[in-house]
This record gives sequence, C-alpha cells and structure tokens, in this order.
Amino acid sequence: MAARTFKLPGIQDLSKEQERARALPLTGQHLIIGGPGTGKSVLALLRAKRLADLKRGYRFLVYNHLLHRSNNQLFRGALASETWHSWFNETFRSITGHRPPRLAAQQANDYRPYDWNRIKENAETCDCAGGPSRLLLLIDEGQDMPPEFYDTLVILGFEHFFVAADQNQQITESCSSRQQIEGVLGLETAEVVELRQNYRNTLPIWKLAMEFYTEDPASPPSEAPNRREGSVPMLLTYAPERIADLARGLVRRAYNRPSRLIGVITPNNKVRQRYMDELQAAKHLTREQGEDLQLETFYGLHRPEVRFDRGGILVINAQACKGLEFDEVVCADVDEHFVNPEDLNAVKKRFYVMVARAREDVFLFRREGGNKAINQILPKSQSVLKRARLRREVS
Amino acid sequence: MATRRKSSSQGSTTQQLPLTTGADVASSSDAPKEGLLATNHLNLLFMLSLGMVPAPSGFGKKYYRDSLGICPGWVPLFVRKVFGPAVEMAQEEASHLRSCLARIRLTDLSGPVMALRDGKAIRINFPDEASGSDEVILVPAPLPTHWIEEIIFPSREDKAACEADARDYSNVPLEDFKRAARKREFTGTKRSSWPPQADIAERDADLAVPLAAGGIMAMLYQVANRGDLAVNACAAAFDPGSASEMVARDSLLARLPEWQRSGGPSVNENSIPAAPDTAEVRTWQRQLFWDIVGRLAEANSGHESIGSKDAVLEQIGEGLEGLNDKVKQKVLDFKGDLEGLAGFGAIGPREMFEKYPTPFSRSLALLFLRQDCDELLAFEDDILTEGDWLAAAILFGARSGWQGLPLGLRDMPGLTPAVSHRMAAMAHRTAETGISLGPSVERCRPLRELFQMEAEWTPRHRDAATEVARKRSWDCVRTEIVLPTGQYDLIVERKGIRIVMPGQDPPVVTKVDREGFFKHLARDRTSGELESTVRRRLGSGTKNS
Repeated sequence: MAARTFKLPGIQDLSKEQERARALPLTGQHLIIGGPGTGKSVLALLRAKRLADLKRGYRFLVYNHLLHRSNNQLFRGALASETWHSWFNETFRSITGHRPPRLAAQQANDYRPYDWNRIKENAETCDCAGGPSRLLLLIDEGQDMPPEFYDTLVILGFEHFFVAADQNQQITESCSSRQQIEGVLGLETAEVVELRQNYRNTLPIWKLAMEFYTEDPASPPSEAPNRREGSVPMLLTYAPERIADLARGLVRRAYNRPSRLIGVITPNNKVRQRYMDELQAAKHLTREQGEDLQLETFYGLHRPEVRFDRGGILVINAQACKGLEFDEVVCADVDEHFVNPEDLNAVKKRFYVMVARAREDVFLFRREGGNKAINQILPKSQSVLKRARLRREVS
Repeated sequence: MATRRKSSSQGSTTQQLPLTTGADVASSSDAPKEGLLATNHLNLLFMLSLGMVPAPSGFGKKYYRDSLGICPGWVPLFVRKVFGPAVEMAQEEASHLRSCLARIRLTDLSGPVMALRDGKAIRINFPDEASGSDEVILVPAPLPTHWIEEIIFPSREDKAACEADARDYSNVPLEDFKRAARKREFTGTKRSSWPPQADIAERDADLAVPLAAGGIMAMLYQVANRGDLAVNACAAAFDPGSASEMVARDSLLARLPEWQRSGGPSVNENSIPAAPDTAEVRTWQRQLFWDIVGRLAEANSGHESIGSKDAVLEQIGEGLEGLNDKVKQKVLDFKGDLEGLAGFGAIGPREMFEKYPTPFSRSLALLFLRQDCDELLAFEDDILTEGDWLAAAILFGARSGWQGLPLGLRDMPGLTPAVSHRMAAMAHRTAETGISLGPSVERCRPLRELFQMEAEWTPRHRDAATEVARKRSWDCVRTEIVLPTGQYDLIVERKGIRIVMPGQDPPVVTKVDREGFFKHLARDRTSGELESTVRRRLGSGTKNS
C-alpha cells in the first residue's frame, strides 16, 4: 500500500485563530483549546517541526501509544515524540534519582497508579535547578493527563509549555480541566487561544458531524471548514447475508486508494470481530493484485504494529477512536449502537466523535432489519447524508 | 477613509469626484518605475501562494486589514516614501502581524489607474499621464507577484520570523523572492491624508477562473513530457493564441485555448446527439467536460455549496437533458459507475478504464479515485493514453487551482512567473479593466520540447540527456570503452569485475538511446532542481521569479 505522510497546510487552510495560535512565542506557557478537528494537533506538530529546524530541545508528549506511533510514523521518525508515561518515568528518575513512587495495585491488571503526593514531595526536595527549564514541552490531548502531572513538572522546573486540549474529549478519570491547566500554567482565560474553525474535515463531513453536535456551552460548535472538496457522506443499507459482499467492496476500495487509511469503527466487540473476519476473508482480492493490504484490529491488550504511514484498514471499537485521524471512516452497523431514548445525546456524542475522525470520506453501514432506534439521530436530508442500498454483487 | 462605492459593473473604471484628468500635465518619462505596497507578512505570504496581489476579497476569510482595504479592488502603490499611517494600519489587526513592504515593478504596466496627486484622486492613463508629483498610484487588482522585486522588513528579526512562518506552509514560495531588512524604508512621512478622502469605486475581480487556469497550466506542464500532444497542449495552456493544429484537432483539447483565454467557451455547443453519431457524442462530451472544468473552478473557490465530486455528478446529470434514450442510458451507466467508484461499487480502476476508453471518462474516473495532484502524478497504469493524462491534468488543475498546488509542483524553473503573469492578465481581460501587464513572461518549455527542438542532438543535448538519465538511473545510457589490442588482467571481485590494462585513459563513449530517453521522460517525474541543471546545460535557463 502507498505511503502516507504529514502534509504541511496550505496558507489558505489555516484560519485567523489558528494563525494566532501558530504565532505564539516558542517559549512561555500556552494553552490551545478546541473541539475535534479544529487543528490543535496540527499546530502542535508545526511547532515541533519549527523547534526541530531551530535545533531547540523539545518533547512532543501524547497520552497513548497509538497517537505516539501515528505522529512518529507520519513524521518519518523525525519527531521527538513520547507517551507522557514513559517520558515522565525517565525524566523524573533522571532529575530526582528515583523512579516515580506508585500506589499499590488497585485493579486486577496489576496496574499501579502514580502516587502523586509522594511524587510531588520528592520533586520539592530534590535539587533540580537548571536543566529541565530549557526543554520545551508540547503536549497534545493535554486534557487527558492528570493535573498533578503538570504540577510536578512546574515543581521540577519546567517552564515552557504548549498544551493543546479539549476538555470535552476527556478519556481518563484523572484528566485535567481547562481551569486546572490554566491555573498551573498561570494563564488568564483571555490568554487561552480557542480554536473554532474546523480544519480536518471536508465541508460535507463537517455538516454531518454538526447534525450530531449536542449543545454544550463549554464546547461551542466548530465553524465550517475551508475545505470544499469531497462527497456527501453515505448511509449504506445492506442485507445481513451480504456482509461478505460489503467486505469485498471495502477491500476493493482500499485497493483503489492505496494511500488511504480507512478506519472501520464498530459499536462493540462482536461487530468488530465480525468485520475483521469478513475483511480477512475478502483480503485475497488484493493479494491477487499483488498488493499487501494492511488490515489490523486492536482490542484489550491486543496492540499490533499498525502502520499509520501506509494505507490500509484499521478496525476498532468506537471507544478507541478518540484522538485518531483517518482518511476515511466507516461507521459499521450503526443500528447496533445502544440508543437510550431518554438520553439521545449520549449516542449523538459518540457519532460526533466517530464522524469527526475522517478527513476525506464518511460512510455509515446499516443492516436491513436492524434496530431502528438509531434512525432518530440520523439526518433525513439527502444533502447531508445520502442513502444507498448495497445492490450489485461485488465480485 | 476612502468612501466606498461598489462599481455598477465589474471592471468599470468610472470614478467620482474629486477627479481631474492628468492628460496635460505628465509624460511617460515621469511615470514611476516601481511602487511600494504596505502590508503585513501574513497577507504577503498569502499573495505569494496565490501568485497575485489581489483585492481583499481574494484572501477569502484570511484578509488582515492593510492598505489594500482602503479602496477595495485597487492596489495602492506608494511612489517614493510609504506613508506612516499605512504601515501602522497593516499591523493593527493582530499583535502577531509584522509590517513589510513589497517593492513592485511597474515598467510593464499600462492602462487606466488612479493617482493621488496634491491630495486629490485623479484618473490617469498610466504611464503616459503619470506625474512626478504623484504620491500614490492605485492600480486595479490583481497584479502578478513576479513583479515583486524585493520584500522589505523593518528588522532582521522580522525578516527571519517571516521566513520561518513561510516554511510552515506547503505553498508559499518566499525563497524565490529577494528579501531585505531596512528600517529607514518604514520611517515614512507622517501624512495625515492617509487614507485618502476620495470616492473611488470598489472593484471585485473574481479569481476563481484565473486560479483554475493557473492550476491547469501547472498540471499540463507536469504531464507535458508524455508525448507530442502533451507538449502542444502545454504550450496552448500558456499561450492560447498560438495553439497548434494538433490541439485544435483533439476532441477535448480543442476548447483548451479558449478556456485559458477567457475562462469559458466563446460559443455554446448545443450539438446534442439526436442520433448517437460519434462526432456528435464527442462534441457533447467536450461541452460537458469544459462545463465540469468550470464547476470545479467554482467549487474550489468556495462558490459552490457542495463538494467537487458531487458537483461533477450534478453537472453530468444536467448534461443528460435532450439526449436520446440510447445515449442517455450510456451516460447514466457511466454516472452510476462513477458513483460506484466514489462508494463501494464492484468496478475497479482497470475495469473502469477498459469499459470507458475515452479521455473524457477516464479522466473523470481518475478524479474520483485520486484526491490531489500529487496522488494523480504518482498513479500509473499502462492502459492510460497521453490524451487521458492530459484530460486528467486539466480536471485536477482546475480542482486544485494554482494556490492549491504544493511547492513541489511549482518549483520548475520559470513556471511561477509565467503562470502568475498569465493569471493576472486573464483576470484583467475578463474584468475588462483596460489594464495591460505588458508582454507575457516566456512560458517554460517542458524538457521534451527542449530535447526535440533540434532534429539531431548537439553535444549539449547529449550531455544534458546523459545527466538526466544518470541521475534518474534510467537504463537508456550505454557506455563504450574502446580498448586497444593487448593483454589485460580481468579480476573478478566481490564488488564486480576489474580490468587492469597498461597505459592510460582508454576512450570512453557514453551514448543515450534517444527513444529510450523519451520513454523514460514520459513516465518519470523530474525535480525542479534537475530541470534547472538541464536547462543550464541546454542554455535555456529561466529565472524562477
């Protein structure tokens, strides 16, 4: 499959507010707030590129391995990127001479959370003048790191932060609120740059995503993107017995567009496994063409080596898609998403996040005869969501 | 502040008081040779990416208030010293803006402009009626950016910051322009008469079509080495007035010169095939193809409310009107297969190309399969003909527009100034401003054309071809070593074979197989750097700006 790489934006692609964030001084404390697809990560990556050009010491910190891998591969290894855990462990040890203290394991998986009280005590008593203050920290998805992480860094003498965050996309229980990050960085609210214009999606994808946006004063809706190209997203209904045809169509699509990474986002593990099985079976299509289709899934502790610098298909559950970006998103079997009639906003939020992952195209697959509850949240207008049925045999 | 008034018709040069004419007071020898545009660095970088100095509307939502906004549609150029308030204004909107001046050459400009003379705005014909006392010349936008002779910053720090900013974008060719830091240029007169109190009609030059035309020029240049028709199509895109017979005979390309001249066909070909005669179908396809080019240009400019692929499908749907049932069904099948390509249809690229073997249909299929110009140029399928590539280059160029092209597709020697000049000239021609930008910058000739200009290759051609072939590792180079009769040691080593002979320097002759060379040239992309080297060797180098 063909190579993918990080592409610089055209000057017309960045909005004025993004320019304001891009122009922030390289040093000092900065917080960028914005919803999904507003370009936070792109701005952080541009900053990393500039610091690398200037040969300035920096670290690009992300919450999870998948994002770290994605950034690193798209930058061809030229990004000084780490997950915050591994960087923090090493940094704390090198400054204080001790590993970060941890609490006893509280869950069955032996995971021992950080003992932040003792970590901070150790940090306060160590002699850490000098060194770390010069390092520039770029933190993506900064809402996911705990507030004590930021506190500790300040105690250890770090002074330069560029934090990109979206408080409405928190995925951990110990995440930081905007106010907490502002407090640690010593920022007034007026100093925080808020990104509103959508950067990632095409206009048709943005229109669909906005159908799922739920009013939330803390998270204003993004404004329409500049990118006009692209097609109206499609809701494809198929007879359940035709799933093999659908999988073959998907594989063929991946083959036809070899540089695209397609995210198949499933409502639960059962559907994820079903799609994975069907796609594996359909994969022979591309083998016949002499191509090697990247087809991966991950769940639980199964974390295969996904190549974000190549095209292919990645099958994941909805809970795992946050923070990722795909060229195309297929929301598989949307009729299997749990819909609570008392709280439609919950499922709308999930769809908002799933759809907003896509750069170029979005498809929703629905099984004929499936649960109709999901129809309540799907837009009726064909100009926002085209309807089609899987008709022809995909050979 | 200048009083704004929308001109009643696009391109109107009608002005209001206080106006006089300068006919009796100036001669062309008084005309300024250059002028200074006061702006900020982000507007400037946008202009460079656009290839033109536009009206504020040309920046879309990305316009930062500067002197261009004083009389929208007019580019104010300070003749001697820039006015202090104009410098201040350019950086007022945001704290991260940096002042800069663009020194713009005016030697090729002629036509109706406005001049600020003794505090009054007067309409003059430039350069004949220009006066030595003119303080500001207001020229209808757009101006080509290759007229920018120098970009001046107040300090080295500002210059360095702007250069660093330019590197954050994929499409800003700042490196092509001379840059300097000179604070004294910014200590302008503290004129209180800025902005001028003049009632000057606003202009709005729509750049959608010129930008699409620029994209088409660049993309046709990118595929121009594919064959003789491609060389001719590229030439016609740049200089429509001298389009060749070969282009005129091609069913799709025949309309290229007119589109590049005016952005649309001069006549509406309503020859709908009542009977599906091949020639008539071709005429219909040609009409539809260029209608689609127009829709893509509009979609790219943000004038369309729908995406480009949907706009194409809609345009095909509109084209069905009046077709007989048999032809209509064929077109509907094709449209259905295009939709399938956009979705999960059973048909793949190869089947699509085989089923619909015309440049019209294959280029549209490519448009649905590949996202941008880089992706198109990376695509390869032996079934595609030269005509298919040309049609695809036109569609992709129109969809992307000049501004949408990354620098990697623009950095061919001489391409940027040639395109920039033609886009601006087209904008003036279609808006009927009466402005002439002077003789066109010579178009840059593709390598195939340069290597074909002589029936027989000269030593220069041979050397240049050898260099290209070697650098690209093409297998069309053959080296002969003539060894005199004698005894030689032939040593077989792990790395290869070594021959040891007495004496020195046996004659070595390197030959390039011409046919093989052109075959490789047709398929492989060459870099701007390599092209520059070749042009230097052939003695046909052109500046990039």
